[in-house]
Amino acid sequence: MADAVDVLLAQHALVEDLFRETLAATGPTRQERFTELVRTLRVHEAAEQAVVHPAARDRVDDAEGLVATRLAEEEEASELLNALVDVGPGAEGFDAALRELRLRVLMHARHEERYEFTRLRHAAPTEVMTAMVGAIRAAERV
Amino acid sequence: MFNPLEHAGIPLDDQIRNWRELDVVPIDPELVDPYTRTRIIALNGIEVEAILFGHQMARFCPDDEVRRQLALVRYVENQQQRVVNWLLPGINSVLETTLGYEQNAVDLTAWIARTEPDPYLRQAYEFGVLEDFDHLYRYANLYEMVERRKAEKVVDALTEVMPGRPTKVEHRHPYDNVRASYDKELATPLSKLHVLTIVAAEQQVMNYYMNVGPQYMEPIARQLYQEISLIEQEHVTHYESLCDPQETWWERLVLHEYNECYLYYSFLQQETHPRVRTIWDLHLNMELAHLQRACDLLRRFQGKEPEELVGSDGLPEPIKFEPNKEYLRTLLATQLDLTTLGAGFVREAHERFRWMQEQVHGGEEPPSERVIAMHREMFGDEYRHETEGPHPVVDLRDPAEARRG
Repeated sequence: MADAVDVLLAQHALVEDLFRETLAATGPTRQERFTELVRTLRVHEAAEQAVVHPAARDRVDDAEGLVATRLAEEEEASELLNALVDVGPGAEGFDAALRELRLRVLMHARHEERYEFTRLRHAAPTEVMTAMVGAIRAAERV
Repeated sequence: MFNPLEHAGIPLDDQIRNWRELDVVPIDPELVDPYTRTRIIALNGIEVEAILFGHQMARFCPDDEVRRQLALVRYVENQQQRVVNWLLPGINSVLETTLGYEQNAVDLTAWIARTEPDPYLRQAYEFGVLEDFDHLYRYANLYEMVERRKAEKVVDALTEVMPGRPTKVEHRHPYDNVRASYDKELATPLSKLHVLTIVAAEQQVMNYYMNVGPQYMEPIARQLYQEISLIEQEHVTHYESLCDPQETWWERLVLHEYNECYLYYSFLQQETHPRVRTIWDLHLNMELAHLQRACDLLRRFQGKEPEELVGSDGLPEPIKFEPNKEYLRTLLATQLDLTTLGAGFVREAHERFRWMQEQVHGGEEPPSERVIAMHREMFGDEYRHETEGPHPVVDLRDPAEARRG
């Protein structure tokens, strides 16, 4: 049965795809893919901040610094994302900024997978990890 | 063709790099040709072999002056390895790098098999490639299970992902992994270079898996790395036994350096990534000087000219990374059921093969089978990426697809 980490990994994979598709697309498709990317990223980060990071803080030893670094990465990415939303895909320099954002988001995702998710899964009982899926879904709806 | 023996290269004293020169910017895995990654992996294997061979040679070398010479070149080779392998990005996971390793093994071995002039050596490569091909499929299933991603993003549809010779039957008695060696007086230079290239590739895969495997927490991941790393060690035995053991250390050193020139030269012709291309160019010019040193040692201690080993016509046709889908499908259709007996290849499950299978499997399904079963359980099917139609071997078609007819 899929647990919270499985759900988050699937979302990371989706985000990778959406970046790839946005960068490859042109015209209206590009705007449409970008809108989807923005929506997915915001929902995903909201769920992580509401459910996963607090769980890591509670259950993983010495997780305070680990989580603080993840939050700082999310904050930086979020600022870049907002700036891109403001100017839109037609703007000059959009491509380069989107590539920059992509690199930061993917690195952030790998950091979570390596240093946070694996430890959380190790520290939390299976039923807690499975139950967290419901909390993630609920946070996404907010 | 370009003849490395005719070039002096960069003087050895100018080859030591500082921190700034060692600090290479890694490639972006999603924005480069997957074959750029396999070229990096292949050359990393070559550099690692150069280092390990150099250490072994030094341990058997009684002349202190020569040991110092070897140490200097080896230090430079070390820095070359750090530059080459550090082109790989930290953003890739261990499994993504693993998929790159298997793609490298498949397409590099396939090229070598296709261009190998000696029929026995060609058979050895054709035999081995179907096994690495199967590993790619097993790891791709593991990848989707533990990372929720699909291997086609990594191999980019250049290499198909489907069963090869099942990993389960690749566990052979060690006696049957020892092949007959080529005769150094009769083998072509190309044959000698091919063996060195493949030994380097398989050795690096073995080292990688045997060391990264325990980094996983998922039991099936730990077990699969354990199993496949054992097969990679069989492959090192299989390929290294093809080298003529009568070759001297000096001869083998010249062949190593010549082969490094061959690979850097080959990949320089094919590389599309401008920054990586610059590195291949620089390293080629460094290797030319290493080759000169090795040739001097051969002349001094053995009274032999390097042309007697590698000829005077220059390098063979450059090695190319390219899709080998049709070639692999033909091999799958015709050679899947081969195993080995002594130095030869047979189609029967002979007594020693069966004995080894019983010892290793102990009546259980190995991790390579369980990973597919677990994937089916988790996702309802297994992961494959068959771009050219159904599997050429009917028995190995996806059960789900077979049911659909």
